[in-house]
Amino acid sequence: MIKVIKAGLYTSIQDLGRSPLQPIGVPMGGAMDRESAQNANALLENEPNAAVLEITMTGPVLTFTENAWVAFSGAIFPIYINQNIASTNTPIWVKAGQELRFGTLEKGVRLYMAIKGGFLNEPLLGSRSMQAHLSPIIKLEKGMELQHRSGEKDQAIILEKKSNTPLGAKKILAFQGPEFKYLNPEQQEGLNQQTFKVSNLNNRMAYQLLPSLSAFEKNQITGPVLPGTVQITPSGNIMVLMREAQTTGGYPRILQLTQESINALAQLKTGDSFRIKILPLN
Amino acid sequence: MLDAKEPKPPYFLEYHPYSEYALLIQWPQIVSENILEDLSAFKKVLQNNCPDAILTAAYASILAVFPERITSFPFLKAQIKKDYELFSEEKIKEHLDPKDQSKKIKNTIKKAKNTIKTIPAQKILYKIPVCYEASFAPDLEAVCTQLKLSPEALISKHSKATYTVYGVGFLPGFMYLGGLDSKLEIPRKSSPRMKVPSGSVGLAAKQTGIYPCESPGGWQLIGQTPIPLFNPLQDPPFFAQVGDKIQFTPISKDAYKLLQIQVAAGIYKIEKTIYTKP
Repeated sequence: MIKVIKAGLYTSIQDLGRSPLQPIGVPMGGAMDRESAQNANALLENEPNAAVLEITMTGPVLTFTENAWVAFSGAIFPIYINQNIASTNTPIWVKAGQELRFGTLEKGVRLYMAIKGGFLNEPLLGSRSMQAHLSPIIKLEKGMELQHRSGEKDQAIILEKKSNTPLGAKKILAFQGPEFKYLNPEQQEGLNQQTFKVSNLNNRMAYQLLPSLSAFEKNQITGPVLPGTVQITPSGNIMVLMREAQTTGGYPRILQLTQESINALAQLKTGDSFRIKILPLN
Repeated sequence: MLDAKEPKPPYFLEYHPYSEYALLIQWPQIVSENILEDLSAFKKVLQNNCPDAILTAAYASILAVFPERITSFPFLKAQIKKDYELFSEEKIKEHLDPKDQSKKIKNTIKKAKNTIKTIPAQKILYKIPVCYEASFAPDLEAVCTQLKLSPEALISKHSKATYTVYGVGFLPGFMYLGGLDSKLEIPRKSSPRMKVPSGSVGLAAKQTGIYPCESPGGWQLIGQTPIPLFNPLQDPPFFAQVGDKIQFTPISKDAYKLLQIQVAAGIYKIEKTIYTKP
C-alpha cells in the first residue's frame, strides 16, 4: 500500500470516468488530461482505464510500504524518491520504505502517476474516479492508505513514451457549437481574434475565461452538454465545461473543444493565455 | 391540445455535428409534451439501431455520443434521418383507422420497411412521498406569504399536479420537471444556500424539483422526501426515464420517519404504476 503523508493541493484518484451514466445526470468525470493519464498507464502496460493519481499544482508526499512500478506523465515537477531525482515518461522501480515527494511545479498543471495494475480503491458505478456529489471521498487526505498490487521487478514495462498533450498550449482548437450561429459578427470575430486567459475560476468542473464577450441574451431551453462545451452566459462570460461538468446546461453552447484541446486546457492555469482556432467538423 | 404555433409531427429535426464523437439531434426547440413524447419514442428506436451510442435526452434534444470517432457525419445524419422517417410513418399507421387512411398515406406506409418497429412508449408514474411540515420546509412560510396562498392551498396545488420528466441533469438523478401550477411560480432565492439537504423539494420559476444529494442551491424549499432519489450503490442507481411522470404524496412527520427506517432497512420500494392519460 501507499501511505499519504501529505495530500498536496488537490490529488485524486482518476480513471476514464463514467460516460455511460450521462443520461441519468452523472458527470463523465475521470482524468482531466486523459492523454497523459493513459500515457502513464501505457508505460506500465496497464489498461488505459486503470486508476491513476491526478496531482494538481502541488504534489503529495507518499510512502511506499511495498515495492512498485510507477510512471509519471503530464505536468513537469521535480520528482524525488528519497533523495534521488526521478524522470517522467519512463517507468520507475520504487522499493518498499521509500518516500516520494515533489518540488515546485515547473510547467503544466496536472501530473499523472500510474502504478502497475492500477490503484484498487472500491469502484463506484463502474469507475474508480473520485467525483464530487458521488464519491464518499473526493480527494486524497493525510493518513489515507492507497491500495495497489505489490510490484515484481520483471513485470512488463515500456522504456519511454511521451504524452502528446502540450504544456502551456498557445492554441486551443474548437468546433462551432449548436448556438454559435446566434452570436453577432463582432462576437464571432472576437472568439477568433482575441487572446483569452484562464481566470482564477477554474477547477475540474469548468474554466472561466477572460475577457468576457459582449452581453448575450438568448432564450434557451436546457439541452445536453459534454466536457469541452463552451457556454456563454447572459453577461458574456465564457465558461469551458471540463471533465466533471454537469450533463445538461441552459446557456448557449458556442464552441466545442477538440478532445486534444480539452487535455491541453487541463494543463493551463490561472493567467495562462491562448487563442482559439475554430475548425470545421463535417 | 396543440398550441397554434406548435409544429406537428413528423417534426423537422436538425442535426448538428457536436464533437468528434457526438451528434446532436434537435427537435423544434420548445417545451412541449408532444415533442417530448415523439423524442422519447424515437430514442428507443435509435438505441435499438445504435446499441453502442450513449443517448442523453433533455427537453427537445438528444445527444448521441459514440465510442469511436464519427468518420462521416453526412452518412450518420442520413441514417438517422431515414430511421426517423420510417419511425414517423409507423406512428401514423398506428394512429389511423385503416378505413380513414388516404391513398397517399397508404402508399407511404407500403414504402416503410420492417426495419423500424415502434416500441410503445410506456410511461411510468412514480409517487414520491413529501413531508411539507415546517421542519422540512424552511421556505414554505415565506413562499406562501409571497404567493398569497395558505400552506394548505400550496401543498394541494403542488401535490395534485402530475409532472413530466423533461430531462435528468444538473446533479446525478436531478429531474427537470414540467407541469407546475402557474400560481406556484416564484423566483429563486436572492442568495443561494451553501448546503441544501438531500431530498429537499424546491420551487424555482416554472419548475419544481428534488435535490438528489446535498448541494449548494437557490431553490425555494417547500418540503423534503425521505426516499433516496439516486443511490450509487444500487443497480440501476436511478429509476426514472425522460418522459416518465411524477406525483408528490403529502406525508406527515411520523410517516417521514417510518419511511426513513424502511429506506435504511432496505425494504422501501418506490410506488409506481403505468401512466394512462386522464
